[in-house]
Amino acid sequence: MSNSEAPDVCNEKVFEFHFKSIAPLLRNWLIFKFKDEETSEDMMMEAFSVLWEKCKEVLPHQAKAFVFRVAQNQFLSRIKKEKTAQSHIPFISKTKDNEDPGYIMEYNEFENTIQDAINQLPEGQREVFLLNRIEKKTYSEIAELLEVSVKAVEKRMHKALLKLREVAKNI
Amino acid sequence: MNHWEEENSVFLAKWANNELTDQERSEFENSEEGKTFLKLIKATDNLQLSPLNVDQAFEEFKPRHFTKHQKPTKVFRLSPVVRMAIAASVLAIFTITYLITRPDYTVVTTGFGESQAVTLPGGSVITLNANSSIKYEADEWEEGRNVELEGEAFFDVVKGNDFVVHTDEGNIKVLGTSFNIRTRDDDLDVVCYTGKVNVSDNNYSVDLTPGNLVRVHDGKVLREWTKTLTQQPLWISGTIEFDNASLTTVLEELKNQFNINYEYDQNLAIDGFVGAFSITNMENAVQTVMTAMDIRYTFDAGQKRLVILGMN
Repeated sequence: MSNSEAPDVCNEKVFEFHFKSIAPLLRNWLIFKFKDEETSEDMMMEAFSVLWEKCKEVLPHQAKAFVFRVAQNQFLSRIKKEKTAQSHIPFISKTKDNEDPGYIMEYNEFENTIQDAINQLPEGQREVFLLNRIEKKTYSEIAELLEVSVKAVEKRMHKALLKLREVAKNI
Repeated sequence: MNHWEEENSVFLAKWANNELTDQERSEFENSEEGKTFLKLIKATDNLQLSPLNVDQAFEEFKPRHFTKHQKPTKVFRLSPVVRMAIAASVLAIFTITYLITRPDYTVVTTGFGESQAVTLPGGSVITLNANSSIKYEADEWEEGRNVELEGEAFFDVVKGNDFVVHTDEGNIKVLGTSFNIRTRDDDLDVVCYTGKVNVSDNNYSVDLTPGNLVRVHDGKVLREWTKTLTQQPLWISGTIEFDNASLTTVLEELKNQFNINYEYDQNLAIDGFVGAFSITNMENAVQTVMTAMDIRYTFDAGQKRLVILGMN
């Protein structure tokens, strides 16, 4: 197959386009799961290496699903070796101005507690919650990304909120 | 009981996604509970990660990879016929590659009162109890034995590399062994029958040997205990047994096996129930467990409707 005009993933421009459009979400999703920025970025790079190696076999419109699956498999094999229990997602919050300092302090404390609780959620609930809250993905987009049903995504979201409430109501 | 606390509810997901009617929404957000949820969702409104510098990442990626498999390309003219032939074969190859590389999950689901045995690649056998489902990828089986489970199933796993069962409440990892997993609502029960089983998630990791049981609830280990084992779980031969079960668990199991609808007061806290029912006769089953728990009830067999009135 030596059709040099075929816009396949092996074309550097096409690949660059895919890399730049997929990488941010892939990296954040891995952080949601792995709770570690450096490892997640390594895994993101690895996933794209595999895409590049297999660029002849992957159609452009499947590139996204492909790298997510590669990363998911890497994740499963890594999680056996490494413990993620102690790590924390490096959240940043937009600062708010023009507020009473006392209120801000109290509110920040609440936010921190919620962030800790998010870190403690089971992985499946955490990824759904954060893909929705941070990445603003709809339930059907998340379902497609994770290759599960929309109903399953909704159940995970519901459960995540129930668990966070347990923490919130004790403050 | 609030409707969002019901079994399998997705109310909060709908709420967080603005899918409620205005009336439902304002009713919920004005309740005490609703205010807590509102406060908590607002606390995550501004949550972010530091953004990825995608240009920099790509610059790092390029030199490591782009020197590989670059072939000089020659431009030459082709006759229209040859061009069409090439176009057709390109399309054919794309279609074939698509069929080969697309994710190919096998999903097996059982309905109310059904059970089914599934033989996996390599010979491991999963027996599914009623209202349960498994999902796995046969093509990727060589690379990792991964199964997702909702509901209850008994696993007889042939020795080999890691076999991992993924559930909402945790992962169960084994090498070769037999074990039962029950994951209904927020509970996860794992019983080891032979070999060794590891149950873990973020916050816990428990090793089980034959006869050991663990119950996980809300991401925490609730209790561990031991029991005398039969060769297989009794449900496989049609007897649903309960070990330290709550009333909800028993009612849910009646629903799974007979598609019974039930109604009861959540305040009726019954826990630690030990008993069993046979799936051969619905009315006997209801009577057996209700009597054993000392519960007053009415049961309409035609409508499959069970109403719990209270304790005797």
